Amino acid sequence: MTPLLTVEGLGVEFPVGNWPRRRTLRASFDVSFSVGRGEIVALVGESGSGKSTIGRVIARILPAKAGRVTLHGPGERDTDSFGPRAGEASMRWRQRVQLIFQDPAASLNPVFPVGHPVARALRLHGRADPKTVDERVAAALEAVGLHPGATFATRYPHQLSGGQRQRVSIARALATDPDLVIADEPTSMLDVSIRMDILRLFTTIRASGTRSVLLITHDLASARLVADRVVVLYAGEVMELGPARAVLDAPRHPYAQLLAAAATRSGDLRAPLPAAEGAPKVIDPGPGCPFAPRCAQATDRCRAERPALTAVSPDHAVRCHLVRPE
Amino acid sequence: MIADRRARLGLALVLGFVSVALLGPLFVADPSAYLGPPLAPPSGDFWFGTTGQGQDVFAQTVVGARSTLLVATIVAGLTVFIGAVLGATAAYLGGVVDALLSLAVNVFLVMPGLPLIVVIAAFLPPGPVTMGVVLTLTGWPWHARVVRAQVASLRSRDFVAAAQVSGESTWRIVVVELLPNLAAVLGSSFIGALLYAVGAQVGLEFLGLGDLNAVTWGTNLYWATNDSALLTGSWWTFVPTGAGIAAFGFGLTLLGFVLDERANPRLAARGATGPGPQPTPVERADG
Ligand SMILES: Nc1ncnc2c1ncn2[C@@H]1O[C@H](COP(=O)(O)OP(=O)(O)OP(=O)(O)O)[C@@H](O)[C@H]1O
Ligand SMILES: [Mg+2]
Repeated sequence: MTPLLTVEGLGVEFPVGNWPRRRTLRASFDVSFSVGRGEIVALVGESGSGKSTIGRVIARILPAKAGRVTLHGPGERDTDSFGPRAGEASMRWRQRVQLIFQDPAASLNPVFPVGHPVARALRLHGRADPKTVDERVAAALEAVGLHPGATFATRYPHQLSGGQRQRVSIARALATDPDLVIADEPTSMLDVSIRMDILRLFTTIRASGTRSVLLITHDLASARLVADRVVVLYAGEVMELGPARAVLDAPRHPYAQLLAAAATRSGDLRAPLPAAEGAPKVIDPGPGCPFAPRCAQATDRCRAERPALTAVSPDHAVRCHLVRPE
Repeated sequence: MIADRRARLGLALVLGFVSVALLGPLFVADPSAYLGPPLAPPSGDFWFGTTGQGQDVFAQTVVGARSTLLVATIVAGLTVFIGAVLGATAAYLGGVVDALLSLAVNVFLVMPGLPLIVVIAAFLPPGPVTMGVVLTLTGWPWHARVVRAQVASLRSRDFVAAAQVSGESTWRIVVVELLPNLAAVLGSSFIGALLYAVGAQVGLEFLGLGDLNAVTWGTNLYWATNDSALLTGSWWTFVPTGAGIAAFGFGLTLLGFVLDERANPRLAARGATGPGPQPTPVERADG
């Protein structure tokens, strides 16, 4: 599959605490993966594993500390990439990469009717002129299931339900006709009853076959349902990545196994993991495997030496000393 | 509907006083001239009676409104402006600038306001400029704190990031997306500042810390006590000014309520996510 997005060695750090007790928090370290054209890739991991951070860097609302993110074009000239110390994103990047936020209430400006963000996205990317914009906004809202679009466009965010707000966010994202839609836990704040509808919307998003989705989620069940491939993160590092079936049904990494076991019990990563020995160490991480302190099978080597990402099959890789390629 | 009625009454009161302050002095007698017998009760000649010096209380009330409201408006504008600029700067830049500005704000807030005002006012030459300086110096920190909190929480709100992702420029995000969200807070800050400025000003002048030759609501009350209005039972020397202050304050308070209500349903509707990174709330599919 031709890649649309490649992420290589991505590192992100945050300063935490105030001077003189200032430290750095390593939210993402040496993260590499790719998203193919028309593919849905799920980024999974427990809270604080750096999923949102990676999504925000790719959407260029957060700077990278290290690494490179490349968006491949249909043609050689459309390929665009950025690394650390990159300036503002180009309008082309803004058009091609869109981000849907977790909290649909917080991601809509409360002082504007919901037609406003959709209209702005259309206008900014030359997809509507002042004469046609109302019509286009209505059509965009109807495309995500808000009928009649013209009426919805004049409503304020607080007059909509959570699911309707999230549909507006999706309409705003699709308004630029993006190549990549990053969805940061798009259903976690929604009622269980409407989660499926929203998830189904994401499978239709890529129906064209050229649009890709990076689905950030802590819900393994929805990852299995819609994703083609899965990337498992722990403490900002990729632990395992590969086809959704392989990673979720027959995980190789001890952390991925723990996740899958916890998910079968509760359907959700939020359940406390067994063998939990405190939170992952993202401030002053040691030299070894980040999961070693919580791993039942950890050896001295695990604590001293960081394992490399090793392929266990052509499309499936695991970062663990205990896993041997077949 | 109720909110609308309150808004209309509040607006009518405030605008009424503003027009009295602006135009009234053109139509009344010289408030400082000795026009009639001292301490005459209200009559056809002197609607609100006369003071101990035989001055027209009606003229004094109307002319007093001008000076008091003018100083209050300037003070409110300045304190809110200074507070907003410093608060927004602190929240926007963060780091050392934020720490220093927040320290300054806290120092000012911790200092007991009213005694400080009395001390400063006693040392500076009396007059409207001194009054403005004193009240501005002590008034801005509240607004700085309110605006800093508001900008800090707005800046980390996802709709700012969403606008960025759509491709909005920084200046457009600040002016078009953020500023309207600040309008309600600035509006109610301004109303609060007006109330504070009128109250503090009248209080200081009542204590004799203002320019006693000027005609203001505060000096009206000062002279009323000075002439032993209560002892002599000449209520008309202080009731008109007092009622004016009360009615103006009431109108402002009504407007403040309405503004807060206008701002709050939307504030409440934007969800539980506060500033900064937050873990995803636990929501289990199967309970
Ligand atoms: N702006 C920030 N300043 C400081 N630390 C941050 C910031 N944003 C994220 N972090 C930290 O970076 C780490 C990764 O956060 P991130 O939000 O990417 O996690 P996540 O996997 O999305 O978690 P969740 O499932 O809770 O959304 C966390 O430890 C978080 O506290
Ligand atoms: Mg997140």
